[in-house]
Amino acid sequence: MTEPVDLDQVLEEVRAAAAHARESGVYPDGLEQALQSDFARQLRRPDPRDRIVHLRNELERLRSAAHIERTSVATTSSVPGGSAAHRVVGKVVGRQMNALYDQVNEFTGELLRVIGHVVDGLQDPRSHIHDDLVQEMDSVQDRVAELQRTLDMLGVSFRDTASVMARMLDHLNSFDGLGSRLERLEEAERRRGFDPFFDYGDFEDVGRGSTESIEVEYRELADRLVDAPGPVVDIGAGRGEFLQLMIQRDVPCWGIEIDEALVRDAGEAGLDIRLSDGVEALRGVPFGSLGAIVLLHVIEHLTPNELLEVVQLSLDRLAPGGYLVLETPNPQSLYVFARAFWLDPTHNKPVHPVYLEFVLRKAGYTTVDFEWTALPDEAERLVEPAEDSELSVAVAENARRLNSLVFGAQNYRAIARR
Amino acid sequence: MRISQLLIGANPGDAVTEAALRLQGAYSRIAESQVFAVHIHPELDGRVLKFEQFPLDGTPEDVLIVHVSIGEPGIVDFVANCPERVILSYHNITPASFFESFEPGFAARLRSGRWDLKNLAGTALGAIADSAFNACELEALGMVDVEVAPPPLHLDRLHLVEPDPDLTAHLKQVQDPIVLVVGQILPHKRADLAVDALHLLNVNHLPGARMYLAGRFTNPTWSSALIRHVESLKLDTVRVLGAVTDAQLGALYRRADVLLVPSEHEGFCVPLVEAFSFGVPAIGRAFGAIPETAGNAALVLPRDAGPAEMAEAMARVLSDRNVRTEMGRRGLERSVHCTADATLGASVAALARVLQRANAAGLP
Repeated sequence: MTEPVDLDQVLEEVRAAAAHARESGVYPDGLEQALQSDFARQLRRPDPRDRIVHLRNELERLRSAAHIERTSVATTSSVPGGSAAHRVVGKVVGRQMNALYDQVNEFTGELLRVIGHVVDGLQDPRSHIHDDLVQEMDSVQDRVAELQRTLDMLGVSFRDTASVMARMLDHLNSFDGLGSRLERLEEAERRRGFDPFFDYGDFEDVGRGSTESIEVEYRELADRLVDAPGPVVDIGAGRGEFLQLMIQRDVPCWGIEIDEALVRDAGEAGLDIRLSDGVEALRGVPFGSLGAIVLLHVIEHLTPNELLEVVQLSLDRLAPGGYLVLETPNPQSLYVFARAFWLDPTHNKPVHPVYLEFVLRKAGYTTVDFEWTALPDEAERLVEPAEDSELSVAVAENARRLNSLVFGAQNYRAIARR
Repeated sequence: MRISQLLIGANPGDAVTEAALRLQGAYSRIAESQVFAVHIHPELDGRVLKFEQFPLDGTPEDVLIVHVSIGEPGIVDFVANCPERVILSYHNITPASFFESFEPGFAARLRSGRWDLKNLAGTALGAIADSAFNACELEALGMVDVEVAPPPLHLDRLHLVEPDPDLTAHLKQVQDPIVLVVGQILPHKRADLAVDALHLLNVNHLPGARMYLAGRFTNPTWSSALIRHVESLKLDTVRVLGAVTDAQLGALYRRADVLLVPSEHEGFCVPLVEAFSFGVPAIGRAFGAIPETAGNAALVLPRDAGPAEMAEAMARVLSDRNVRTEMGRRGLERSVHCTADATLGASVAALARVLQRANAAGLP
């Protein structure tokens, strides 16, 4: 729990810190005046680099004057038949002239861009040093430093040449074994990846319940997204149940799914589900163009970095007021771990709601709300006895506490708005 | 009915021009509406009409909104002879004292702008001011009917544009905190104090903290002095970017850790609201309309705060996660009310109220 922040108090502390820094000589007497004097001196001093500023102003003027407008050929004439002649000439050369205008404008645009880069470069030489070149220089410096260290070592322990040679041989041997080590690592990585011999969609049918039950579960959510300020995208659309709900409500929508078989089935059923990785697909969507992005039971499959990327990309791609809906198993309910979470071997990690709220707020969503769904069956929860004695009151309270910890809602849903 | 707007200068990217064009879009739904200007940047030809094209067949049914920003010979007489109902739109005039010592010609135009304002205030039925600070200036000139409405903002231009990929890639490589300063490089904006404050921050708190200054080099003398000042202090942590595109500004706000507003004069302060909308904490000083624009969302230092206070404030915000989070949250909350529709609606409603009151009072 963080303490509430009082900005007036912060302001006082800032003033006190500045006063203390002045008194203690951290900011010596006259330092701030000296800084201002330097600026005043610069203001008075003519500088040949004013020419750069002048160049920039000229460039701005050139930019505004550079676009050549298409003008039609004048058709008025005082000479008899002149107007007709002008019209004919206009028709004959008009198309070529337009093409010429386009080429000139295109060329001018490119030229101005290049001149702009040149002016930038003139002002800040560091800006046109190529990154690759800098990296190459770093690498050369590293190699020089390494050589220097080796030379030092040789100089200091010349008598230990044999041991140096032995170390060099070790290095060489380790290089020799590097290939086979890499192969072993790759094999281990392949084994860690999940590549079942069966159709994974069949297993999802076992784990997720019937199409009808899913439609009932998400009907209310679908109703809420009817006013989304743009199309709805379902990432990890699966069999397309949620998209069906949106279509029934005449909301433009499409889905993204990574499983080829599910995408094929959806296509046959007339649903617009595109085969892609969710993050990749979001990257291709124009900024601010989506009304809602829905991820139902997806984020528990992601790595922590992938989750952050999805949250940030979604913010960019949503229109103002758009929704990001993230539903995932509730790690605050122990029941979830016994029954559902580890049933799916592709689940990576549960996502705690406190962490998710932090991430969403930090990313810049204006509101973040939570809903708790899918309570375990009443038959599975502990019975809370009638509270008619001191003992039964205590038992009922304990049952309530246990029910909340063990049999809490199985899922939660974060609904964030841009 | 016709609703015309008159500007002295119309320039692309200029807040007053952009506001007038957005208002024109709104007024066009209820009346014939055009924007006219005395001086027009060629890029705006067609969107803004020449002052000479102003229709002379106006009637007392029509409305003329005059945006006052700088002096222009003849404008007061022209407005005084217009049959239209005249409303002032006041975005403030920078005090001439900021330019007096090194740009006396421009300072004179600012002074004559104040003179024009005084005379126009006597002609107009009422006024719409960007802020209570601006409204006070009008009331001090004797205007009775002054409405306060924020300028029509368009924050989506930064949020819905793809951030500039080159700048984004560059900023991603910066591991140290980033201080952003946004605004034209002009004397009253005091970017020089921001640079001094960063120098103190680098020396005493965060050696790697960077500062990016984004804003048009409106005044070449001042801009080149600023660049030389940065070099003289050997501050390779400061980058003076000059004018930036919306895509570049969007990239900067997305990465910035704090916005510093060192300005000594603001009629509203759009960068504060922009930073709020990105959840970027902001630090300013209590000049002009800064306190009212900031509300309780920014750290507003007193007017006598110098580089030391600014450096300490930046150090505190950059090192105190609680403060940063709380300021970011408050900023986001505050910016919710600054959507394009909300601010445009407020301006239109303010105009309607001024006209209604004038009608009720039986004024022409």
